Amino acid sequence: MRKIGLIALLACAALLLCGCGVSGEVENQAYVLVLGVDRLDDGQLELTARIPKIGKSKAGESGEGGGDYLTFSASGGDYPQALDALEQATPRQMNLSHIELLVASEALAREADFATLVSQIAETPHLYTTARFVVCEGRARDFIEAQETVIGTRLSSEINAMLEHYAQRGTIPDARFADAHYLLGSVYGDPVAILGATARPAESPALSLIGPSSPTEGVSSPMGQRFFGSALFREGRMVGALDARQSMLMNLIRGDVRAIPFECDGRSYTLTVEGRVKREVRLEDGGMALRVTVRLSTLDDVCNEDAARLEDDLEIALRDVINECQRVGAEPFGFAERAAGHFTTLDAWRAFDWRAKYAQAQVETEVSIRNPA
Amino acid sequence: MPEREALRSELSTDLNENVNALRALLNAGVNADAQFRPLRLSGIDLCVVYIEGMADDKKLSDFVLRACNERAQVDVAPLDAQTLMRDVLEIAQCEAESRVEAILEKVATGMSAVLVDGCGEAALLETRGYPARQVNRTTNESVVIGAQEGFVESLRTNMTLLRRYVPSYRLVTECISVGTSVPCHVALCYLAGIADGAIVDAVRRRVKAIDAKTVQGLGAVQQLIEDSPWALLPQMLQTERPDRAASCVMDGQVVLLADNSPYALAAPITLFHQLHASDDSFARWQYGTFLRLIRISGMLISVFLPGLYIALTDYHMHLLPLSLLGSIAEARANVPFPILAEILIMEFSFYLINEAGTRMPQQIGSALGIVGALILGQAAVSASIISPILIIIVAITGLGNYAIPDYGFGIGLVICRLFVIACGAALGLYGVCLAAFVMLVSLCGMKSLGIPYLAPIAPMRAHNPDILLRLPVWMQKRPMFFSAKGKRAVR
Amino acid sequence: MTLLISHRPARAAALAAVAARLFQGLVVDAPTTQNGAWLSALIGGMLAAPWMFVISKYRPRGALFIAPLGLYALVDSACVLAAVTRSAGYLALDRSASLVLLIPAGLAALWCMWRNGDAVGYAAMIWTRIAPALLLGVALLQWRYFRPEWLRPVLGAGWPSIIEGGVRCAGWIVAAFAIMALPEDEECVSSFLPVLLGAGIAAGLTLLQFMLVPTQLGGGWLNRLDALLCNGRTPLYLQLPMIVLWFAGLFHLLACELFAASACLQRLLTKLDGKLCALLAVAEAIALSRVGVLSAYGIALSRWGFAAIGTTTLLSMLAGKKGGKIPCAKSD
Repeated sequence: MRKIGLIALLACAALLLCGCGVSGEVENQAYVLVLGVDRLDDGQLELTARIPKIGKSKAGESGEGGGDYLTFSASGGDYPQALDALEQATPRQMNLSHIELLVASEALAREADFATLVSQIAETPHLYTTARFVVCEGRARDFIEAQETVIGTRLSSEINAMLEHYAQRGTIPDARFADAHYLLGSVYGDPVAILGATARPAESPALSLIGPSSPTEGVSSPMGQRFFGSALFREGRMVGALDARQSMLMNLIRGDVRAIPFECDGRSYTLTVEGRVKREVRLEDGGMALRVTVRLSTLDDVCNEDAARLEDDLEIALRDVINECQRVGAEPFGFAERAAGHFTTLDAWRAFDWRAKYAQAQVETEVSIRNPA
Repeated sequence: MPEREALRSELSTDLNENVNALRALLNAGVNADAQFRPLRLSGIDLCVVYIEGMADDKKLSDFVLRACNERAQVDVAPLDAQTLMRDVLEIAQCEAESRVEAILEKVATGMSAVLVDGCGEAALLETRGYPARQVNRTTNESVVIGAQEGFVESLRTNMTLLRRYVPSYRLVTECISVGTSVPCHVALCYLAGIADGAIVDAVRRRVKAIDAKTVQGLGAVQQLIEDSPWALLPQMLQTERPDRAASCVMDGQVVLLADNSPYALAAPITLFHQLHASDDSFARWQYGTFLRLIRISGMLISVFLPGLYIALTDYHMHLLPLSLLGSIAEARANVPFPILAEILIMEFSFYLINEAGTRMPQQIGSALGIVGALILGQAAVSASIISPILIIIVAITGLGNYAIPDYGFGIGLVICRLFVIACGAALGLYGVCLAAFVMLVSLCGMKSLGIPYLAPIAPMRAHNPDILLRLPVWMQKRPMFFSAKGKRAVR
Repeated sequence: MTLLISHRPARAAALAAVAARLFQGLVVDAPTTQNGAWLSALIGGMLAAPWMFVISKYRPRGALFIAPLGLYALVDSACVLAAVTRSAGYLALDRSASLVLLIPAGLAALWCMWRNGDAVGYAAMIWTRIAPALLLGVALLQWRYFRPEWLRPVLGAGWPSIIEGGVRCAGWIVAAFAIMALPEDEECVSSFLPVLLGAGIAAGLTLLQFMLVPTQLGGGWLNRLDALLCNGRTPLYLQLPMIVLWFAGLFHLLACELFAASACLQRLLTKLDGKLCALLAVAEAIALSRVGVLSAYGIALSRWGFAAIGTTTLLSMLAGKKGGKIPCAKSD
């Protein structure tokens, strides 16, 4: 009996000592769905959070208040101060574990110490970095305020479905904040981010139709924002951008899309990737050559001559994209990882001076298209 | 003569003296049941002692009184208990006994004692005929496919039932009387040559070592002979099904039956035996395996689901999909209690309904479902006392618990669940993992009659593939690892 | 109560502990070897193999062997305890005092030790059967995110670092294998080989982890834990199996090392009750993990642990020869 009493006492003591008081009830949290970072004119860092109201749903709708959201902003001298100010501004315990979208303004992303900010954000307690990473033209706060539910009732589902849709089409990269964080601190290539902009329907510019010579046409959309390309990074800061078409080709090289629409001579084709896209790096006498081999198939009617022309056009387009990235010094394709394979140690790899050689590297592309029919 | 001495004495040759002694011991003056029926045979006085209601009047009339009357004038002298049994009485089962205490014990169970003047022995006749429940369908261990009859309160009937399912000359039913004040008969049943001798000896030794004054049925026996009486989970299997008990006997386990206990105890067992049901043996092996997997899932859900729910919703919101989290938050927006209180309220309400449903008379039992479902469910949700999602959690947990065939094991798991809830509420997933670890090690440390509780997984033993899952019948050739043959195979 | 463990449960406990300790050490504690971490695990296994053989075969018993081994296991268990509490803090309990997180783990370990060694070992035996299923689930969930390219350059920080990592690994193996010095049952086969498999498993797991997260040149302990428990790609709710794997692996490791430490203490002070020894070991581990032994240990002790224990084992064997060594009783 004494033994049981002792055990019960110890167990109670353990439970009493534990963090019962530290837990937060699920309905008392402010779940941040979108977090934005801006640099204000006075040099302050501004954080913006979009939070769903809890308990406002109508019948048949649940969670995230049926489309009712609040946006809070706060600024501070640096990230910790801004975060603290944002927590002060939010009337509930701010929960950063479910951020779907992490938005940085383009101006901020182009700053020299942007990588530090990314690290600070990634190291925020309970921010688990599964968010997608967006760089937006203009102010991040405006971009965040434009996030509305258009088709569904939940913003989180809406954002996920929309970005997955675009990523599957290839017009944006499947860019996670975690990848940006890891790659910024790694010895390999550079991260990319989704490029977005705020655009009201009335002033909406066109989404690029995929094709080397397609005209730009206006697109009417009730969405207050759009995602249309990739932001390129080099050494921790944004150095350039790819439009939707270029992003699609970049994703093709990265092996992230399985099918692309392509236009040639006024006809559009759907090209499906066969097998894996081959990315090779050859080291030659102090220089380097990059080679991409893509095998595609199409079910559209295409004669041999057209197929050859299509292959030529696509090879040029792929080369152009790589050249564009070489020009700005960004390497989002994964060539660096393959080049690193030629070395046995990290020191040898770093001594190789990849960046300089990448900028000068010759690019070869090989595209083959076949029609199984 | 003091009672103790009287009990320990032997019968004298004087009938009157014997009758008076037995009358005194049976409190015949006030005890209306104790009957002393005088007789005369060949000029010698006899007295039949029996307990009215316990002894069968018809047996007494037909085979004792009539037999004596028919031979009243026949000379059977010299008359003693042996002669009486051999030449006069027409009852198959009888024995001579001279010890007063033994005679009284037998008489108390419904046998009749015939005292003979001039003889220091009484003839004990098997005349038991007390009212008892007929063999009927099982009430707690229902099966879809399989035998339907269950044990009853009569030890004799239960032993017969067991013999019917195990018609083998090797079946031994060893009777041991336990309880120093009020005896309770316990039958130790096993298959000689199949059950491990060491295990049988261990059970026999433990049963004989019981020195309690009274032992009320197998429940008390179980507690007095288990390896770890402090453990939450039982180390012996309770079953009210003769077919299951028979299966245990045939596997080499020892089965205990007792007076007034409408179920059997089987040992040694493992955790996995608690998840077996009779359906498994009757159904095809695929179905049996599937059902066992369902029960294992039920067990895990029963123990961990509420604890995990509180850990995830209080501490690890990031481990819930946002859409689900939104639904939970919406549902809880107007609930005034923290999740821990909410869970405890619902859990105890569930136990209350469960317990009340068990105790409630059958006629009004149907009302309980309405009270439970309507008031505690619908009304509590409408009044925003409980969130609907929690009702789902508790209901699934309850279903998981009901999937477990063994009642005692199920209650043990309920207590484990409360422990997991406490750990989850205090420490989140860290606490749940700690609780699971502690429970796992505790289970690994438990034994049933010296057999590790988690065998044959830990320790790994070669085993019949009908323990954890149920492989095809033709593959179930290997004897169980705790049987005599199984042990030899391991060696 | 005498703290005892049989051969087979000890082996299972050692296997689970070695795999968990090497993985913890290489991925979270001291990933100086970078991409070559898996090679360090294998080298550590090879370095420690002769020592493991000696322990399994000859079972040294002298105080010269038992005392340092127990102390070393205790110090390592303090590191594991600290890792457990920091992991709990990372997940949710960062606002709880560290002592508050240490005590439940200590109490759980104490309770397990009071169930004696076989219970600890058999629990590890079950764990070694459950863990692969969980691992398979984790691997399948993350399948599309594995990038074999990130394993290159294959030697990571280079041979010197890999070998240094191997020595560290050997030290961790010594602490995790200490429990194998305790069995006193007749069965005595030099069956340390299954435990060596733990090093192989750790190497494999390290490879998988390095395929998920590119080689980082900076970042602290919590960053590495974050990369392990939440790599940012798989939806968070699918990370639950990984968290369970991590915690359960650490708990088994903790119980194994603390049991070894407690049992060594009882071998030294035979008059002490086993329960008291376990209590003392837990209290000491909690105290050690509170005084910042982790940082010192991470830098120095793990590097010298193998050499130190190896030397004392050798000395103990030599002393045993003079006084008549205790050979293993062969089982029939």
